[in-house]
Amino acid sequence: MAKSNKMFADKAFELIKELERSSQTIPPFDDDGVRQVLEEIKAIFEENCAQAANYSTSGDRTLWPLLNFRHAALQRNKRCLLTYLYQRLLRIKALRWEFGPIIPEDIKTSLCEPEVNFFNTYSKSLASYMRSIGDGQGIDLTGDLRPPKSLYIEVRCIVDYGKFELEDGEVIYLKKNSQHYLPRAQVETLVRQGILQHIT
Amino acid sequence: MFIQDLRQDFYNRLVGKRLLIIVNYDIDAICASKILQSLFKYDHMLYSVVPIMGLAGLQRAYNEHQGDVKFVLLINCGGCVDIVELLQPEEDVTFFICDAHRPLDVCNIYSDRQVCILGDPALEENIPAFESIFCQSEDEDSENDADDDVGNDSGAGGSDEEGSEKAQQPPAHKLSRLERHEQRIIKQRQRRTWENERDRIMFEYTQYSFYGRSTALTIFELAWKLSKDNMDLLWWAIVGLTEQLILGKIESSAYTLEIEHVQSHVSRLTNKTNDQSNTSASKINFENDLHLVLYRHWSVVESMRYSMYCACKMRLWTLRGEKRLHELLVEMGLPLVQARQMFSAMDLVLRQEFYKMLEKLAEKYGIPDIVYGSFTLNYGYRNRYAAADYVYGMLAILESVKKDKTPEDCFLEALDSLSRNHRDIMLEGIENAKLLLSSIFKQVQSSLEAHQVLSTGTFFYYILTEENTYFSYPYGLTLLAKFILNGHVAGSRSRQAPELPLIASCPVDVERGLCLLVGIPPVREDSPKNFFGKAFEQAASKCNAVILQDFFDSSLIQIRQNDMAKFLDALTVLLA
Amino acid sequence: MSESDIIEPLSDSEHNGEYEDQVEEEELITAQKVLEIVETAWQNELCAPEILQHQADMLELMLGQVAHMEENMKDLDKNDFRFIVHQMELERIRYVIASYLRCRLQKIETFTRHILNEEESRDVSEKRLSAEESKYAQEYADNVEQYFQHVALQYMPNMQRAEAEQRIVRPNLLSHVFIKANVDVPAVVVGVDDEEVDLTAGSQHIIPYQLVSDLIHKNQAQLI
Repeated sequence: MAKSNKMFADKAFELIKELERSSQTIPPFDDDGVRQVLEEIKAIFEENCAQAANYSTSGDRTLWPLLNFRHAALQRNKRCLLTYLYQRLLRIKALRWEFGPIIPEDIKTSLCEPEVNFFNTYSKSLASYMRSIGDGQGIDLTGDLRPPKSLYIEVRCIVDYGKFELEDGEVIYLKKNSQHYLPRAQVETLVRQGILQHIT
Repeated sequence: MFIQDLRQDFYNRLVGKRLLIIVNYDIDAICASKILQSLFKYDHMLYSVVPIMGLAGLQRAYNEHQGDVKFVLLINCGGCVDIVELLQPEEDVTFFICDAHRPLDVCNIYSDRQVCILGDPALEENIPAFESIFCQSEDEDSENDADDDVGNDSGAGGSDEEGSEKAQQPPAHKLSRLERHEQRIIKQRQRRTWENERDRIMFEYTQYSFYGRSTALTIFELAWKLSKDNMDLLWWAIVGLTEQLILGKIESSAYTLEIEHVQSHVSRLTNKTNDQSNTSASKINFENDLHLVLYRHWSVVESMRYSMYCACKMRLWTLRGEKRLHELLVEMGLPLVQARQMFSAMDLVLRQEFYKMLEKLAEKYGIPDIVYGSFTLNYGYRNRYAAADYVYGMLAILESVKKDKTPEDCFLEALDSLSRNHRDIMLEGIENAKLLLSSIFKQVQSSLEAHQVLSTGTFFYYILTEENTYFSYPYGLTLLAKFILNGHVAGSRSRQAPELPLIASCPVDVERGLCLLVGIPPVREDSPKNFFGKAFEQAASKCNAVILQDFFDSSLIQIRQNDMAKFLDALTVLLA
Repeated sequence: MSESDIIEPLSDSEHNGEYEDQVEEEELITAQKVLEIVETAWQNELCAPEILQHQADMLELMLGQVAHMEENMKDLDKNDFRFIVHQMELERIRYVIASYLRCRLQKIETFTRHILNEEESRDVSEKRLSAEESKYAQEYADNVEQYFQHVALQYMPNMQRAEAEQRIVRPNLLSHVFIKANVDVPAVVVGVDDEEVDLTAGSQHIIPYQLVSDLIHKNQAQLI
């Protein structure tokens, strides 16, 4: 019996709690926590293995619940850990849809290396899929996120952006606090990035 | 060049092109730009709106936003300065100016292609004729040439070019030396008289600065000709027009004339909506209204106390004035308890009677002009706003500059407050306006009691010594100054008081020692023609003070604190 | 969304002069149909819990049509009313297509293993994923597996195979959906006791998805 009243899979559960409560979209990868959980799994498994070996030779039934219990603890640990990882994965995927194929620097620091690799592979796979639809013409699926209401929208510039070129070549100077009326399709990305604000 | 047919020469030229709209920092301009924006949205014309505050802002905005834009619209700015000279634009850029400031710069009027002024030249006064201010350049050239070339036409000289290849005197014009000399002197004399005449005309033309037709109203008429007008646009035009009246930019007679035009629009649009049986929630009514600021959103007592007209006539900052106010209320049959509540919380009967009672008693208490014609907007069942309410609300919004809220933010907020979805901004603005007006009144009260309005014999002056959230800005200072002048004149016994103008100043930036200075014309004159622009300029040059005449309204300048004393002295001498 | 009428102007007299070939005219006639099919597929896809049959050829046709229209419109003056209306239409079509593909991608990403397994068990004519989608699904599955493996699973003791089975996410086929019957359907088995219900054309019902999934596939009913 453990001296302290800690349960198995406590740490794993804590990982998930942290992720849920975090105010950032992707908190830093809790390397330590993951490692602890893995160690715990290993420890339980080893204990169990030892006991199981014992059990199969001795046929002693009294230890059966304990084995089950440990097995259940193992499963729970694994499940929590995988949930944690999967959740992070989902958020990373969302990054790709929102920001495009390059991760912003500040978020990159919160990711561990396998996550970065995942992101890159995912990004590449998505890009090649998008390119291949429609006879090699490709559609950018990350645009057009909402049904279009009108061809042009009125936007207000929130930060100094500088020069912006329209499709027909005209250059607009986006300075803070100026208001413009522009074709929707071309300024949608800027609105999403928060540089322009849509005025109703 | 003037453009009268706004639809043909202005709007149709712009269809399909991209525009740059530069808007001045005043309510009339904001209303006009809002109307323009909705017109452009109907036709899907791309535009960019940039707010500015003065000449420096205009230059900066133009340089930054210029890009590929070929058409620039200037709303309520740039009419009084030579635009081409100031901004140095390229050849193919066209400017359209819709400015209520007068006098318009002659270079803008007579520019043949690049600068177009939206308006009717017949309505403009005293535009000097082209010949009297611009002369033929050949005379100038010939003056600078050698003596031998006096008085000859280039054509007769045998060569077509006007080049200075006139070394040889053509034989036909062989005059004796004396005669040539005489001719030259005569020419010079003629030129001098012509120049003097021109200077006189220009001086007369630019002496007074005043305001012309409201820009918002002009743009609304364009919308009307395009058949794209509706109640919203009309309401914005009304607000723009009312702003001119409230801030004293036009005389009440001019306002009354414009009101008649507007009334016809109102009746036309109301009938149109009734015919089509679209029940539009907003209705505009014309009615006789009272010059009591924001009285529908305030209590009667406060509204009467803080309105300039009422307060000055009855001298409500004195104890006697208060008593008179109470007498008035008693005669109207309005209990004091009710009068101190919000207007909307008063008894229904009292509310309905309020206007009639006040009208009846106006003559007796010396406030006959308290009634004037105005428009109210009824939106839904609850909201009822007078045009003046909107004006004060927007004024307060424009003035609400804080540390984290730049003037441009305030501008954009005021622009938003006009639209129907953002009525909460307008309500907040009205609340702020109440604070503004009450603080103006308190300031006036304390200043008049402390006799802080001093006279130099030719004008009054009133100096504030510290920065104030409300009075460090043009609108606030102007309102305060008007109130003080009227108050002082009402309270003073001297016969000369109504003839004297007032100069008021308030520090804007204490660390840099800058002050804002405004000149108010005397009470006696009904016309808002203002000669301070020229006067300030001359006084400053005489005493070598550095002033910044950046604002488009020429009676507002910025000056250093240290230069104030000698500037005032120079001004005294000038106006004597 | 009655977007079908907008394709009408394509066949009006002004534009007919530009189309000389017979082949082009045939395309015109089906353009409307193509749009309808794409829209129905989009609606169905959004409402259904599992991934439905792909419509890649329809999509390609539609995209081709869109590109064609854009070419034609380049000559029109930007302020012409027709331009604005056509442009609006094109943007809407683009949105529908993008939304459709995004929805499918999302389902693929959520039910990856399940879908891949099912695909293998189906024959070619019934395949629900297009070639590119299959490739994408496979890549995605591999990516995720590799990631898990790398970060966590390789450290864990060996009980892999069984729990890999556990980790498959399956769509809930019993979730209720709204359907609208296109044609008369004689006997649909509903409920626990094998009750049968007749669906008349145009009627709308709420019913667990599983019971009507074959109807959807055969296009006898559509989800709303």
